[in-house]
Amino acid sequence: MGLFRYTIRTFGRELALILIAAIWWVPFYFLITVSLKPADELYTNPSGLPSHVEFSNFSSAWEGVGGVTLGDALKSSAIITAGSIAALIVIGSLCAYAIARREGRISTGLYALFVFGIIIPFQLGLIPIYVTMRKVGLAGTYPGTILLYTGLLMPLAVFLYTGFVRRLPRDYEEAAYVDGASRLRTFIRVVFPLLRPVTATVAMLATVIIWNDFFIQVIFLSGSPRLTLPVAVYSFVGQYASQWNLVFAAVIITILPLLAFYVFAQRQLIKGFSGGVKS
Amino acid sequence: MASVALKDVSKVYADGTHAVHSLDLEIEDGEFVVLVGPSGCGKTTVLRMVGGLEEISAGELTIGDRVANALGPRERDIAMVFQNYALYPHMSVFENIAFPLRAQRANRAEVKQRVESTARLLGLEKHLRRKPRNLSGGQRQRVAMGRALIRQPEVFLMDEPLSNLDANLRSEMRGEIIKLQRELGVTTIYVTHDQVEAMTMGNRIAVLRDGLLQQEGRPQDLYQEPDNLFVARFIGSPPMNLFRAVLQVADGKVVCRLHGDELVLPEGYLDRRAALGRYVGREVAVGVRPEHLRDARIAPEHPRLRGEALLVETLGAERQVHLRLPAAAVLTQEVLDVVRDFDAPAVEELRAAGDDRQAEAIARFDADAEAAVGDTVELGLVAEKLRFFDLDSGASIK
Repeated sequence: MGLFRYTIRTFGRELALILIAAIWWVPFYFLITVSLKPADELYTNPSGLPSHVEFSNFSSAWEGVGGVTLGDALKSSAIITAGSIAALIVIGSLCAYAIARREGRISTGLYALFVFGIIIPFQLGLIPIYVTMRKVGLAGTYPGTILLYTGLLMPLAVFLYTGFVRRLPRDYEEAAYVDGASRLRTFIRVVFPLLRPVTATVAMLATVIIWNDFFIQVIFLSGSPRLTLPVAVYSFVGQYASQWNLVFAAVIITILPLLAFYVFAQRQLIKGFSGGVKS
Repeated sequence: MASVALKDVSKVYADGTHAVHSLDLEIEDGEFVVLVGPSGCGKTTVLRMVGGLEEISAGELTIGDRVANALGPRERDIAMVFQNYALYPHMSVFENIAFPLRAQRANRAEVKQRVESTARLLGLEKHLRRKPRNLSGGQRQRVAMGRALIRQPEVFLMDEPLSNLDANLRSEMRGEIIKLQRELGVTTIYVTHDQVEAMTMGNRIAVLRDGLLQQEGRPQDLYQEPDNLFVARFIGSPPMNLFRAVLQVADGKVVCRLHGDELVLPEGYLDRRAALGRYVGREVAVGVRPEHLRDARIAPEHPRLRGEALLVETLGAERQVHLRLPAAAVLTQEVLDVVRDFDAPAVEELRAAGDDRQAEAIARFDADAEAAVGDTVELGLVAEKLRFFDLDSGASIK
């Protein structure tokens, strides 16, 4: 293996790569500059930097439309996302543990069913689901939406958890049984903590999917006071079609919590994908 | 403490693999028994069956006065040390050791007091807050021991607990485990495939091969009176030297005819070994321990044989001389099984050479004995210590 030498060519190559990567920053540039611009500069200077920073765009955007503030929408999004993730983690990990550790046709069949669930487009069942949920009074409610997302994302959660549990040495569980722990205690105290990387992955993926989802939320929550951020921003576009600075400010408010979560959980996410537990 | 008894215990896996065949073994209260054998011989399966981690296909397991076949691991009051320790990686050393007590819902003060006293016993006081990944191999091993000790179980099960340690640490920990076991007097079943561990640690050794018990008894008995070729070859380091010979009687003396030489045994030899008389005129396997192959110049009174020195290892207190004997090698399945355990490719090579292959042997000479590579060495064989085996059955001729 030769020693790595940093030459002018290396520098050039790096610079080129940085420039190519910078293309991905262009939408963010517009998002940030437009959200900080006064309204009169939107058409006179659309791509330049704002002449002065207009933070009031954010407070105006925060007011929201139709009596639902962005604060309310943020709360709804947070409740639905957190509720769904909690259910996905608890049910998904237990279910995957049983599938991975129980040998036999039942668990193989169950696993196949879950994988099948990832492949089938949920839109196929949308109308019956909607009709049923309205009938039982779950449409437009937090529990209903949480139940829906939990069901839709459970195949993915079970798939990821099962793969991870299968690679987890059985020794830890066997040691716990011999040490006198029950099955449930073994799962809670020994297995579940070892699933942390994949739990982070499931939480991360589910958060991104649920937080950003527009389709289900607009169908199941429209008309209720429990509007989520994507639906609220959408209503915003309708009302302030000419005031892109307010729309962009609302978009930034929407993506900030997610961005923070992503930065926080990135390491766990990578670990979860690469798998394995180090003793 | 409790005794453990396996009566006619078998294990057949779902795929039809017969891992253990009708095993009968009784371990007395407070005894330290070592299960030893090559990889895949079923020793770990036996241990796991005692631990309740593997179902028993047939037979009966008794721990104390309870039949334990249907009891789960937590109802058996046993503790186990795993080969890779299986320390919970997310817990500190304190939490790892405390885990069995927490499972018993012991109160906080008791947990703290007992973990601290166990840590003191094992010299782990300074490491209680650390995670297993920040410990050395020896320290991890101690934590695993601590987790097993803290509950004061009826039976200790240890599955090759020293195999991940380097040689120095292994010998140190070996001593510590023996000391601890003697102090606590807990019935212990210890699995290893290292016969040095087996010889030095146990009150009794049980040798397994392909799921069958080959012999059990005190280490010295197995060493001196192996029941068959497998035990003869497996127990002892260096192993027992084996060669083929045809037994004949001439002038009242027993003569072992080899390829190109002969070994004349003292008069009256057959009188002391009646069973050997039936083998006169037949080929047998002759076994001799390295310490019973003497330098004939120093010990002229023994029956003699010539060998060619292939390698001389000076070990300070002694010299180990590797020799080629004027006899055919013993390459029965039992012997090849032992070879396979530590040098699998060599088995094919040995098999290819077949009956023509000359026997090789190792002699343990005094440090000042003179021997150089290429020399023809005159060997004196301690006749009373020779062992004879049936080549077909592999059984010892006693």
